[in-house]
Amino acid sequence: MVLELPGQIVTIAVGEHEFILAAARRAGITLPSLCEQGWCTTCAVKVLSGSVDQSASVRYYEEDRRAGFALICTGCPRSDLRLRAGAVEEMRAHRDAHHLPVPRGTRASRIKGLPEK
Amino acid sequence: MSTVPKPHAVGKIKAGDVTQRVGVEAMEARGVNVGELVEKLIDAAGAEFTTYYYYTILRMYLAGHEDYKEICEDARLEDRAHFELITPRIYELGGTLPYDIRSFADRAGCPDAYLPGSQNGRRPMSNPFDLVTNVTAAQVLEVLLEAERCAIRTWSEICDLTVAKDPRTYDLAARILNEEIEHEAWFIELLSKERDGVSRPSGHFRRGTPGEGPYSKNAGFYNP
Repeated sequence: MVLELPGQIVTIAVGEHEFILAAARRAGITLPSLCEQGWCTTCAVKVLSGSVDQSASVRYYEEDRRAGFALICTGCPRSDLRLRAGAVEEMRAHRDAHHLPVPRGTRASRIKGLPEK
Repeated sequence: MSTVPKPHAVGKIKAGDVTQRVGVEAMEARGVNVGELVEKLIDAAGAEFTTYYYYTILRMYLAGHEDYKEICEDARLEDRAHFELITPRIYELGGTLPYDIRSFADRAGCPDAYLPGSQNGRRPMSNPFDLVTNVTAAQVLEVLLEAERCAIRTWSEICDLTVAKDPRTYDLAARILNEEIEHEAWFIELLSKERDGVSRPSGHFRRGTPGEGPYSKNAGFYNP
């Protein structure tokens, strides 16, 4: 999996049944997360290419998939992937546009390694 | 008589102005994004409130484990106390709870703590006697444990946002965090023994009274 972070691009091996966030942590990369059950969207990423299995997520919508968002805390790779980290605010705007529920107090910028907006 | 105004009367907020709050200004001067904090507090309050609801259901499915039921009840009541504790602070900062409870539940910062076997709440109910069967204590304890872990991350983040800048919110969040950490220890202890047969003591004994809230209720803010 290729992961785009602010100022760097890293390649991480992710097992077929491994959550992407766990694989990133194993590789020493700190990414935003909170509920870690596929609900709060803090861990949201943009899927630039490839496909993610979100069946372990508590709240994930088909509209999210169509718009190219993934919740990596509970997402497993189903193909080679290229992701862009730190998409929580984009995903919130997407959920709002589709009248889908989303927490409002999440900010990816609080997490080390991601820039303040 | 001197015409020089008293120092405390010449702040940014004019005397008698009720549209602004010095309590907020002081936080912003120290670097707190109050709007962002209020959003976070509402999400957190929503999670405590929904957890209280779902724990009510989960507790019912611990038949034969009366000790687990009591401990689940302590966590349930204390989570309600957390909602009660933090809600006045939202208003104090100029915010409000959502006017529609559905909006409130939808924006909760932690997942709904669904009963195992309820298909994440989507299980069709043809009548009110349509109970889920064969739910194990270990399954329930696992849901309880993960709910507490989300709460710990939430209140830790609120502590991070407010430490040394907003002592009032920090104090409330730290009280809640103390209890959430205890809840996690309880459910680790119970799940480890129930599911794996392994002792991992929490280090605690039972609360003196159900939902005692030793941190969240020990010095009432407005928490009846």
